[in-house]
Parts: sequence; C-alpha cells; structure tokens
Amino acid sequence: MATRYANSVLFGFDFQSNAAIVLMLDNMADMETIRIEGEEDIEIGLNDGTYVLAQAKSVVNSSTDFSNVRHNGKKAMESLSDASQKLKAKHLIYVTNSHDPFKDEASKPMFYGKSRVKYSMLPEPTKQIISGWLSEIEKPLNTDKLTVQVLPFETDDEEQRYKVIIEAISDFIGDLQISTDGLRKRLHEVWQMMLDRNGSKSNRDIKLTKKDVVWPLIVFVTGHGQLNRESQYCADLDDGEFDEIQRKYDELIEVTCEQFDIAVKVITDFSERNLKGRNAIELFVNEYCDEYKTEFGLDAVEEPTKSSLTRIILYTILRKRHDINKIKQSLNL
Amino acid sequence: MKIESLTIRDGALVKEFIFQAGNNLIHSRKNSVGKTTLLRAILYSLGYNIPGTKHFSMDRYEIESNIVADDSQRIKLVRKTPSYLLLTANEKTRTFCLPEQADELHALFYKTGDINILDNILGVFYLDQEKGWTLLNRGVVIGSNHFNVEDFIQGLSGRDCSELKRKKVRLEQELSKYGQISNVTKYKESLEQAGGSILKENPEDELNAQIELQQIELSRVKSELARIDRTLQSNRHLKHFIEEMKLTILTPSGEQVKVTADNVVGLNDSIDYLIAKRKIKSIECNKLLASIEKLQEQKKENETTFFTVESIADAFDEMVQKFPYGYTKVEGIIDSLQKQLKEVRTQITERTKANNIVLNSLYENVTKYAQELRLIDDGSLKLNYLFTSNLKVLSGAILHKTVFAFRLAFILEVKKILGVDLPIILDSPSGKEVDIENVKMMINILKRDFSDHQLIIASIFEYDLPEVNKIEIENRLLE
Repeated sequence: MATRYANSVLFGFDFQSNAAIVLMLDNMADMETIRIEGEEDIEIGLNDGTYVLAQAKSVVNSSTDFSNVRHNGKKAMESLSDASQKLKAKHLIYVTNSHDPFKDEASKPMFYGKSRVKYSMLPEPTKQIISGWLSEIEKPLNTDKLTVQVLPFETDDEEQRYKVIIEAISDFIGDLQISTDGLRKRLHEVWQMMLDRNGSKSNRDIKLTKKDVVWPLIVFVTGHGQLNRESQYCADLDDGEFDEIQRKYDELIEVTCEQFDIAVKVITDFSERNLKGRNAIELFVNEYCDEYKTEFGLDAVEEPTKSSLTRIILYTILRKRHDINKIKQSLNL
Repeated sequence: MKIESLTIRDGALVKEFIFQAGNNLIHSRKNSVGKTTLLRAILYSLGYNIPGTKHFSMDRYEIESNIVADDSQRIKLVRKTPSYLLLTANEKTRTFCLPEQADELHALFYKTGDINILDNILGVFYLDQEKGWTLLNRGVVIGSNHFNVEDFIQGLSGRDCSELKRKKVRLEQELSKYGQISNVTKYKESLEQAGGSILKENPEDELNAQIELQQIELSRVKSELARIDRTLQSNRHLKHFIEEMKLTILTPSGEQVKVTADNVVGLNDSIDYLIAKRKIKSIECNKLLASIEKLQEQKKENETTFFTVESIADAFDEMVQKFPYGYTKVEGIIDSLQKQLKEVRTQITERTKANNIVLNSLYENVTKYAQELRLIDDGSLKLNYLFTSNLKVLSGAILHKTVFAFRLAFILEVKKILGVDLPIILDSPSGKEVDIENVKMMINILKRDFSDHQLIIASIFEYDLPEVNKIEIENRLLE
C-alpha cells in the first residue's frame, strides 16, 4: 500500500511538471514567471500582472479508474477558488489526465485525447456538477475564467506517456521556425528537470523566469555542434576536412565564440559593414576573413587550417548572434 | 628381525601375545574373531599406517611390541596414538613422529636408509588376506602402503632414478589435470551441441562497463562545466570592468548616455547564454551522478544476491563456455603427455634392468620357486616377467602361488643384500582356490629355505610346520 502511495505521489509530481510545460508553452508570449507549488499547483505570472492558475490532478490508471475523478474535480474547484482570491487570475485551469474528468456521459466525448474546454462550452449537466461544487464554497471562482484541460498521460513507457507534451514542444518550436536534431526531447528533458528537480524535497516551491526557460532553448538552437555544421559550408570544407578540424579544434572554436571581447568586435565590425540580405554573414566571412587571422590566437595553426578555422569562428559568432536575436524577438524576451 | 611379543592395552584391559623366533600360527576355528586384527596390530606397532578392522580401531588402543633386530638388539615400540611412537633400545627412549619419521624409524630395523627399499619393504614380507595374494609387483599392500617392483629393485641395486621419477610424477600430475580438463572440454562441447552458446554477459562486468562509461561521460561534462565557468568568469570580469570605467558616450542626437552592462549590445546575452549552458550541463551532471549511484547500488545488490539468483550449475556452465580451449586441443596435449610418460617409464625400467645382478638373482629365485610350485614346467620364464602388468592371464591359484614365489625371491634378496631376516607374515595363505596340495608345496619351501625367518601365519587351518607357536583365538582378540 505504501509503495502504491509513493508511486502515485511520484506520478502526480511527474504529471504536474509536464502539465506546467504545456501551460507554459501556451502562455509563453506573455509569460514572465512560472512557479510550481505557489498559491496554486502551477502559477504562471503574465506581463500584465495577472496570473494563469492551474490545479493539476492525475490518476495513475486514468483510462480505467474513474473512482476519484469527481472528488478530484471538487477539490480542484476549491483550490482554484481559494487561489483566485489571493492572485489576480486571468485564467483558471483544471488540468487532469482523466478523459472523463467529471464521470459524466454528457461531457465525456469532449475530452477525448488532448483537449481544452472552457466552462461556457461544457454541456449543461456538467456545468451543474461544477456549480454544485462551487455552491458549497464561500467565495467561489469566476466560471468565466475556468477552463478544463485534459492531457493524456499514462503508462510506464516514457515515449507514450510524454507523447502529448513532446507534441506541444514540437508545435512551439515549429512556430518559431527553428529546428535542430533532437531539440524536442532535449528541451523536454531540461524543462522537466527544471520544473521537477525538487520533487523529492519537501519544499517544492520552484519559481523560474521566462529567461530561465527560454535561454536553454537558445543554447540548444545556437548550440555549437549545430552551428559548426552550418559553418562547414561557409568555410568551404568537405565532410572529412570539417570532421578533422572539429576533432582537433572543437573546444577552441567554442571558447573563442563565447568570449565576449572577441564576439563583440566581430559583431560590431559586421554591423559597421552594413551588409544586407540573406547571405550577409557568408559575404562578410568571405570578404574580411583575413583581417581576423591574428585575432583568434591561431598563430600556431598552419594554413589552410588557420583560414578554415577563422571562417568557422566568424560564421559561428555572427550566426549565433542572429539566432539569439531572432528567438528573443519571437518570444518577446 | 623377530617380533617377540605384542601387547594391546585398552585402559585396564591388557592382552599380551607372545611370538617365537620360528613358526607362529594365529589360529581360530571360525572366521572374524581377530586374527587379521592381530597381524595388523603388529604392523601398526612397527610404525606403519595400518587401518583397523571392522570392530577394532587402532587409535583406540595402546599397542606395544618388542622386537629383536638382526644385530640382536632388543627394541621396545609403544604406539599410543597414530601420530607418534616411542622406541626404547639400550635403555634409551626416542620419539618418532608418524608418518613423518617412519623411514627414519624403519631404517633402524632394516639397516638401510634407502627410501626405495623402506617404502616398499612391507609389501615384501606381509601378505594381507584381502589384497596381498593378488599383489604381484605393483599396487596397494595395505592402507596407504604401496609396493612397486621397479622401485624396490632400484633400491636393492642402488640405481638412482630419482630425476626420472620426479619427471614421471610431474607428468602423471599433468595428465591427471588434463584428464579433468578433458572432461570439462567434453562437457563444453555437449553444451554447445545442445543449444548453442548459453554464455551470458557477466552482470557484474556489464554493470562495471556501464559505470565506467558514465564516469567518463561525467568527467567530460565536469570539464565542460569548468570551461564554461572560466569563460563566464572572463565575461563577468569584462562586464565589471565596463561598469567600473563609468564611461559616458555622446549619441548623434547629443544625448549623453552612461555606459552600463545593459546598454552594451550582446554583453548580457553572452552571460545569460553561458548561465543557461551551465544549467544544462549541471542537469546533465546531476543526471549522470544519479545514474552512477543507481548502478553502484545495483552492483552492490548483485554482489550479495549473485549466488541466490544464479544457480551454481549455471555459473559453472558459464565458466565452462568461457574456457578458450576445445576437446581436440586438450586430447592432443594428453596424447603428447602420455607418450612422454611412456618414454620416462621405459627409461626407468631400462635403467633398472640393464646389467643388474640383483635382477638376475631375483629372476633365478622366482624361476626356481615357480618351477617348484608347478607354475612352469621348465625355465622358460622370461626376465621381463618380473615387471609384468598383465595379471589377467593368471587364474586364482596360479596368481596366488606366483605372488608367493615372487615374495620369497624378494625376501631372499633382502637377506642377501641387507643381511636382514625379514619376518614372513601371511594372512590366510590357504586362499579360496588354493588346494591342500598347493599349500603343502608352499609350506615345504618355507620350511626348507626360510627356517631362519620368523613366520607368522593367521589362518583357520593348521599347517605342517615344526615347533609351531600356536596362538589360539576363541571368540575375540581381547578376551
């Protein structure tokens, strides 16, 4: 019994952090902070001073076990009502993994798969169930702000369990028009760890800023492996030559590109040249490469490797700057 | 050497048996009353490692014998336990630890220090009822006492084959070892034929490999973290430097703007970038640490439960399958060792036989007694017969008499070379298939040629021997 309880508790933490990821992505444009276990299970602070408050309730065997869903629903309404008294709520969300969250034939079809239904859209019998619960609360929540969100989340197979969450991440990065190998899973892993890493501690209050959650995305997208591969073409290297340079100088490229005093010089020079168009970076690299051969501490490197390395570093610095700006603008950071 | 008496003590119970220098018959009308036990007790008192009989365990008793050596010296031997013996001669008592000092002790009786003689001499004068009458030239005399005709002849003739013998022992040990290995490789083949390889990766090896891999990865991540920290520190220094400089710039619009980290394009980004990267690496690091810890716990658990989850038979099969050599290879080695051993044995035999006057003398006496006992009609016995291993061709009575002929020839040779009159101790000389006529012939030889020797016979029969000291046992030895 104790084991099952412990498992269901861990399962609850897991669902909570994953639901937080989905809600965070839904609200990324206006989000300033995200907090777990604040006034509510999930508390997203928006830039207009309001909050998205969510109560997360999970059921271990969600596709077969509906014994507690109404109890969960009632508790969620109580909690959301209470939280909405303390914070200025913009949206109040009851998020669960049960596809029949009210054990109710009328609303059941609406919650098939991943779904989000506003209170106003719920069938009348379901509304009556919720109204019944709310009527027992001294200061009930405003149902105009209430949304019921269902995220399928079950099984021990992680691939299957996180399917909906990974899809949400995938949609998010698709909207940003960025794509790198394995980005979805890496982001999921990092965000999950950031939002769930204190799961074993009694104090689970985690508060992250938008910067905290967006910068990992920038690191992955502008990550050095990814950029280097693009720089291969700019440096006009075939696969073998490029691999050899990467094997030998991987760390040197990375360190040089991350040194602000070096990066700022390259970025400023690039701005001053005022090159326009899609190929501006490539044009700059081709035209001014020789001017930087002595700038990057490559004295001991022989030609033509020195030239190739200089091109790779220039390209990487400029491309990274470009991508950082693009993502920051897109996400209003 | 003559045995004068034997005393067996069991607490207050003391039983003494007196022997005379000539003929002695330990007699009983029925079997299993203690005749064999008495003979064995004599040998035990002489310091040999001798097993008891069904109802008589040697180590329970104190056994004393008094003997007269061939130089007329009287010796008292008292054996209280199997591990030591007290020898008293000329009023001096010495302790001999057994079996370590057995050869030293026996050297006093037999007037020689030659190990080859001392280790084999018991088989010359004592014929056990169970094995003695079938022991021709190689085998067990009694208990752990052996007889080997080559060794004995080498001893008598002073031929040193010790180097060859060491080689022989080494080869025999090797062969024994390879015999076991051969069984294992045969079993290995049967496992392979039965169901292909059942070889599983050793779970401990697998875990160690995983731990090692993760530790390598952890060390890589840690070094990346250190590198990020260095770059981060360098960028932060720059940020601090800019802020400390308190620079102010004039914009084209004429406005004066103070230079801060926030208005230097890209500076904060470069720091935020590295901070995020550091967080990601820290997460990776923590994940690896947790994973390594989990694997190490699993390893610890496996170490304590290995033998309960995996049967010894499975573990054995796994080890056998890992053995890198096959049956054919091992059989090849065995063949080669057997050839070498055969060669060494041949060399030992040749060195023993070549121009050996002891051998010729033995051969003459064996032939003489064989003829007398009607084992051969003429002198057609070949010299090599002394070393024969082929006893199968000898039927019961013939083997019995052949053994007797051999022993008598050996006893004569000992007398000739060492000047020692060995006692002749025969347990049940009237074997199952030996008729009265044959026994008579044997006794006649003893009477004629071995009258100087003490004869001790244990039997339910009476023999035509002059002046016999008859020790009668009625129901049991200690009565």
